[in-house]
Amino acid sequence: MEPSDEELYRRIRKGDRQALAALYERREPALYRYARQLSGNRAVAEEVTHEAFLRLIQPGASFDALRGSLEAYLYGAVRNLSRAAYRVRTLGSAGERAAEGDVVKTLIEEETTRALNVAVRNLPLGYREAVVLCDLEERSYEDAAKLVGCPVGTIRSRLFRARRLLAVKLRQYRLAPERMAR
Amino acid sequence: MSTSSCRELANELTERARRGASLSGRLSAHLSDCGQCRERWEAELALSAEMRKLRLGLAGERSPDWRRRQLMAEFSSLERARPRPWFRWAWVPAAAALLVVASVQIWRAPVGNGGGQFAFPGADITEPGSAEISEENGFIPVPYAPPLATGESVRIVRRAVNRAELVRMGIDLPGGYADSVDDDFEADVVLGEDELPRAVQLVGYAEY
Repeated sequence: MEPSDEELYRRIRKGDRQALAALYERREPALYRYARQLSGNRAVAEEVTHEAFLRLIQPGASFDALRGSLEAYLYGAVRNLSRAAYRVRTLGSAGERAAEGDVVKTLIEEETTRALNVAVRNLPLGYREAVVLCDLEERSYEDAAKLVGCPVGTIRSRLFRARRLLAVKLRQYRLAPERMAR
Repeated sequence: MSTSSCRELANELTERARRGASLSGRLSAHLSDCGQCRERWEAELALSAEMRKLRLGLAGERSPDWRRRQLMAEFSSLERARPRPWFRWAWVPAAAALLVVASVQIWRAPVGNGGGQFAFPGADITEPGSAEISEENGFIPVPYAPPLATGESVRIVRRAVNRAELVRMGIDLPGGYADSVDDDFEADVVLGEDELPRAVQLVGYAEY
């Protein structure tokens, strides 16, 4: 049976490298994708994810199992760091954004899907989180609510509203692709 | 079809489109009558299809491997700097050991000698029946000393006794000694089995 995140954390606190490697392998990819969608930037996502794990291994790590799961702690750290980075980055250069678009292009072949990716990243943060967790990461409403730290109903309504916005964007893109393919 | 029915079914349409589930009979019937909901259903289906592609496109994404190696290296350096658990708790057995040593020392100390304030080295001059220990013979009883038990033997030790020592025992120097300028006197000290002084006789008392 796989050890829980919390069990791995206890072992990490005792200096177990294997436990850290296992936790990283289990949680890093989804956290990175989450950070990537929140920040809209690959380098920032890498940095933010790394920082979240770094906080976890610091001697004064603030994780408390009584206050929530380790996964929720990590998502919370990534969310806060991404928000901070996003605020800084909104002042960043357009060149960086163009370079980012090129990277996405290599991963997503279709224009429409790429346009959807852009549309997701332009959603308000709360909506974006709901879409990333529920639709892209396929988490249940309950899981997403725990990770974001809000009621299940809030996640559900945010997702429905976000999907409505995205459906409209998608339709607009199909009618006039050149306006959205950025 | 009424707007309230459309609102009620909207969430169900979204949910079914997300899950790739087919329409129920009730929804099919509603969509065949309501152009707005049909349009919405088609938009939801298209969105879900694109969302699946996006999910697949992003699925393999993660940080490069050097980030993992960097984290492990930082973990190792933190571990090296962190005090070992045995060292952090070493004070517990150390304190316990100290307590044990202190207890043993207290236990092994001579019992009932007033905390060691009186030690009576000196020549043992006791001779059975050689002297009667009484106030008439010049023995001054030590006040507040515990009484001798029945059958308890005593011994008499001759030694130099300091004036201050006598005061601490609670003995008032008799007559001539009180006026003496000397601080040290020779005395026979009567000790019980517990080595506590019971009486003191100043040698040469009669001369004063």
